[in-house]
Amino acid sequence: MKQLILALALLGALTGSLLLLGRAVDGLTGPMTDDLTRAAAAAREEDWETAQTLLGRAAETWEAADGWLRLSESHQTVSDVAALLDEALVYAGAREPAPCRAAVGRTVRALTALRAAEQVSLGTVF
Amino acid sequence: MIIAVLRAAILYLLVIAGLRLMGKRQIGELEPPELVLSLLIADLAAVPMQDFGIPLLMGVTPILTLLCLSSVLSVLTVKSLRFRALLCGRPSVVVAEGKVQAAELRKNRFTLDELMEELRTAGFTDLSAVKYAVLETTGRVSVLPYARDTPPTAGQLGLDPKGPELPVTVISDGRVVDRNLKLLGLGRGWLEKELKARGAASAQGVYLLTVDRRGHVYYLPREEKP
Repeated sequence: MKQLILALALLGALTGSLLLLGRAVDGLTGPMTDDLTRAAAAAREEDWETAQTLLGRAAETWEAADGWLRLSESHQTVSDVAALLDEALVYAGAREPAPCRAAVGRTVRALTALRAAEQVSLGTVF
Repeated sequence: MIIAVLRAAILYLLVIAGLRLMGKRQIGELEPPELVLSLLIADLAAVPMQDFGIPLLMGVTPILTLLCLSSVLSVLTVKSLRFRALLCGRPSVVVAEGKVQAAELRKNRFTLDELMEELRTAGFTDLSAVKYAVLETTGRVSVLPYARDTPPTAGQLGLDPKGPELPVTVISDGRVVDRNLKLLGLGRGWLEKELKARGAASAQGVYLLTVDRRGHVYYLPREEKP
């Protein structure tokens, strides 16, 4: 019985921590996606100051989370998002709206995929 | 490269712990859930061991999940006979009263050749000597021969021979196992006397020394290096 309780407790702890991880990823990518959407809109209106500020904030947030993200997510995905954010920042600095919006769009798609992968749904399970 | 060593060490220890939890069975004796577990665990461990782009937790988490589920299933199989039958199957009597049960063989997808092979492995080349043969859930075949084909036991012959006693290792490769000495109710003083009587200067000169409850000592000195 002790073995059963221990196994169930460990399973519970695993499930709980993975659900918490899902929430943490959601909490990270949600505000970032909002910032990036606003940055894309600012780029469209050629408000480069706002676009750069929002992209810079998103890049800082991502960099700050890099450590724990690499514990749970594919290292390639984490690096890809960082590289896309850098790319978007470079285009924003160069005031090129189309490539900037394209880079932001790719970043948002990567973040959405990452967020979806951590959520329990029929789509992710099957 | 140090990452490879660390990852391999962590996953290796985890897999060993997992297999250790399964008990002391050999691969051929594994029940279906245990066999599945050992196959999956090895595969799960191999991927994050080689690919550093995959977080270690992605390997560790499913392994831990499988180990937990395996523990839960093993407890349930002990508690419930019905669950055990569902998960591991039931033994099948493939030879009954000397007759091969063809229907049982078909049901278990076990061929006559395989049955004969298993019987030969068990030491029976003649099917007429076999009264019962049971195909166990592990895939092994247990054989019960006719009494006329079984050697008589000491009891059947009316003999009462002294049973063997379990020898306990007291010195193993030059090291004294104090726990076993205590188990036998003996002490270091007794051991020193025994060694002296056998011409050994110390325990380090002894490769193996065992003692049974009757006080019978088996002594094997260490071979001298050429």
